[in-house]
Amino acid sequence: MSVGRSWAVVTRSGIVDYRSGWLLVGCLCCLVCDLAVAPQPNIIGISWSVVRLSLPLMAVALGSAIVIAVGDIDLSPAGLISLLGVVLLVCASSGIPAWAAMVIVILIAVTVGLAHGLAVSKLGVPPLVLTLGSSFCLLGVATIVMVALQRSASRGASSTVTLVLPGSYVHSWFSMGWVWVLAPLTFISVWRHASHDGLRHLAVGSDRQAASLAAIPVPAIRMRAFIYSSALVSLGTLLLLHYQGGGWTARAGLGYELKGIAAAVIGGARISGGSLKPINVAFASLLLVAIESTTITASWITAEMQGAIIGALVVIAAVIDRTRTTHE
Amino acid sequence: MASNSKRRKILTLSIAALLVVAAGVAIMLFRSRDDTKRILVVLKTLDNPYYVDMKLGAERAAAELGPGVKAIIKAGNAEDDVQGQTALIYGHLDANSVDAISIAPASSTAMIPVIRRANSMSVPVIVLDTRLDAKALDDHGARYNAFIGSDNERGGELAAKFIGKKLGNVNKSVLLLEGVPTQETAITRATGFKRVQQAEFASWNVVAKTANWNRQQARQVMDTIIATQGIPAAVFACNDEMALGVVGALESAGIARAQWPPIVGFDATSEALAAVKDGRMSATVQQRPDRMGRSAVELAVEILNGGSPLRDNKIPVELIEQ
Repeated sequence: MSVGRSWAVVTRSGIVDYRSGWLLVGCLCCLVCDLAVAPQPNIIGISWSVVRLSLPLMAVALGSAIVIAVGDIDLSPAGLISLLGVVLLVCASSGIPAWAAMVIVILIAVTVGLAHGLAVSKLGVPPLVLTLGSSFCLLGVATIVMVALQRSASRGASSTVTLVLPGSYVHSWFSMGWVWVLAPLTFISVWRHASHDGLRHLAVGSDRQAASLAAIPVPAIRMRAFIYSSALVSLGTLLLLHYQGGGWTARAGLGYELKGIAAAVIGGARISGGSLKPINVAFASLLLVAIESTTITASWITAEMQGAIIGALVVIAAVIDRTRTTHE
Repeated sequence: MASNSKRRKILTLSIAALLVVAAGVAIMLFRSRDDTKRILVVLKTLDNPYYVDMKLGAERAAAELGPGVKAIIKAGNAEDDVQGQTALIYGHLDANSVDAISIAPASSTAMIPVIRRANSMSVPVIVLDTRLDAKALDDHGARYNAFIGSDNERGGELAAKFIGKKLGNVNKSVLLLEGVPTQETAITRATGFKRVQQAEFASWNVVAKTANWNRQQARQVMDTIIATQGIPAAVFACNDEMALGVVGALESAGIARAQWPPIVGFDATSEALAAVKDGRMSATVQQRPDRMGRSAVELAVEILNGGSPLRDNKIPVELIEQ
C-alpha cells in the first residue's frame, strides 16, 4: 500500500488531517534550526528535551481544547498547577506514598473542576471571570502553604519536610511521561471521533440553543468539560514536576493557561466552540515547545529578543496555517 | 478531481518534509566545529534593571576575554520563573551547547534538580545573587562550584539603622515591602531589617506586605495603604523597583514632597540613584550587579581553565544616602 493510500485511510477516520502533517513539518523545521545553531548538537537529546517539555503542555492544552469546544474558557490551570505541585510537596513531607499523593492530587483537581462546572452550568457564572478569580485564589493558597512549608523546613521542625520532591517520588510514577499523555490522547480522540457523546459535546459548542432543543443535556456536558480539563491539568502538573526533577515554587503554573489556549487554537480549536482535534492540539503543543527550544539554543537570540521572537513565530505559524486552510 | 486535489496536498506535504530533513542532514554534514568556551548566564528576568546591569557586566567581561569566550545570556520571564530557567538550562544541556553555567536561581530549592543534572554532565555551576538551600542541596546530592552575591542581611540591617536614625524608637508604622515570599533574597533582606528593628527600634509598628519585587504591585499596595491607613512613617522596599512604585503612588496621590516618608530601596539601580539624588528616595542599599555579572563569566573561565576560585565570593553592600 502506498504512503498516499495509507495517509488517506488515516485521514478518513478524521483523527488526523493535513494540519497534523503541517504541524509536524513545523516541528521538523525547528529541529533543523536547533541543529544549525547548537555548536555540537545532540539530535536525540534535543528531540527528547522538546518532547519532555511538551508533554505537560499537551495535557493542559487538551483540557483547554475540551472546554473551548463547548464554547467556554478555563483560565484556572495557572493556579491549579501551582497548588497541586505544592500539595505533592506536602504529601511527600508527610510521608504519604507517591501513588496515594497522585490520587489526592487528581481528586483535588476533579473537585475544583466540578466546582467550576457547577458554577458555570447551574449558576450561570461567566467562565472567564470565574476561572480567573479561582486561579488567583488557588495561587494564593499555594503561596500560603509553600511559605508554611519553608518555615517548618528552616525551623527544622521536622526532618521529613521537603521543598524538592525526592527522586524516588518523582521517578516512580511519572517517568513514562509519553504513556501518561498517550492514553488520554487516544481516549479523547476516540471519544471525539467515534462516540455519540463526543458529537454531542461539539454540538453544544456549535449552537447551545439548538443543542438544548435537541434534548442534549447542555449543563451536564459543560460541567463534564471543566472536570476533564482539571483532571488533565493534574496530569500536566505531575509531568511538569517530573520534567523539573521535583523542583517547585508556589507560582510554577503561571503562564500555562495561556500557552494551553494558544496550543488548542493552533491545533484547530475555534474560540467560539464546536471544533476539537485532539491529535492536532498535541502536535501544536509540540510545535510551540519546539519554537521555544530553538530560541533557547540559538546563542545569537539574546534574552531580551527571546519573547518577541517566540511571539512573532507563533503569529507567523498561525497566519501560514490560516492562509493554507483558506486556500484549501 | 477530489482525488487529484488530495494527491497534490499529500505531495506538497511530503516534499516539504523531505526538504526539511535534507536541510538537517546537510547542516550535520557541513557544520564546522570550534573550541570557544561557552558560558550560559541565566538571569531571573530582564524586567528589573538590576539584572540588566548584571547582563551588561557579563557581556563586558566576555568581550574583554576575547573571541575564545562566548557568554550566552538568557533570562526567565519573571523573577520566579523556575520553569523558564529550567527549560533554558535543560535545552542547552541537551543540545550540548554550553561548557559552564552561571545562574541567578529563581528559587533557592526548585532549581536544585537542574543543578544536579549539570553536575552529572560535569558542567561547572556558578550561583549568582540568590543562595541555594544548603539542606536541599545535601539531600539531593547537588553541588555548585562558586557563589557570587551581596550580603543581603547586612543590607537589610543598614536600611533599618538608616530609618532608625530618621525616626528614632517611636510608635509609628513602618511599611516593609518584601519580594517573592519564598525566595532566599527576599527572606534575608527582610530578616536583616527585622533583626535590627526588634533589637533597637521595637516600638515601630512594622506592616509587612509583599509586592513580589514588582513596581506596579508596590504602587498598588502603597495606594491602598495611603487610602486606608494614611502615609506610613517610613518605607523599606526590598528592591528599588518596589521603592520606585511607592514613589509613584505618592506622586499620583498628589502628596506634597515635604510630607513624604523616608523611602529606602535596595539594589542602587540607575533610576533609584537618580531618585535618591533628586530627593524622591532617601537612600538605597548599593549592590554591584555589574560586578556580579563580570565575575560570573570570569570565574567560569577560571574553572574551565583548571583553576579553583573561592567558593564564597561576597560582594559588600553600602548605603547610598541623599
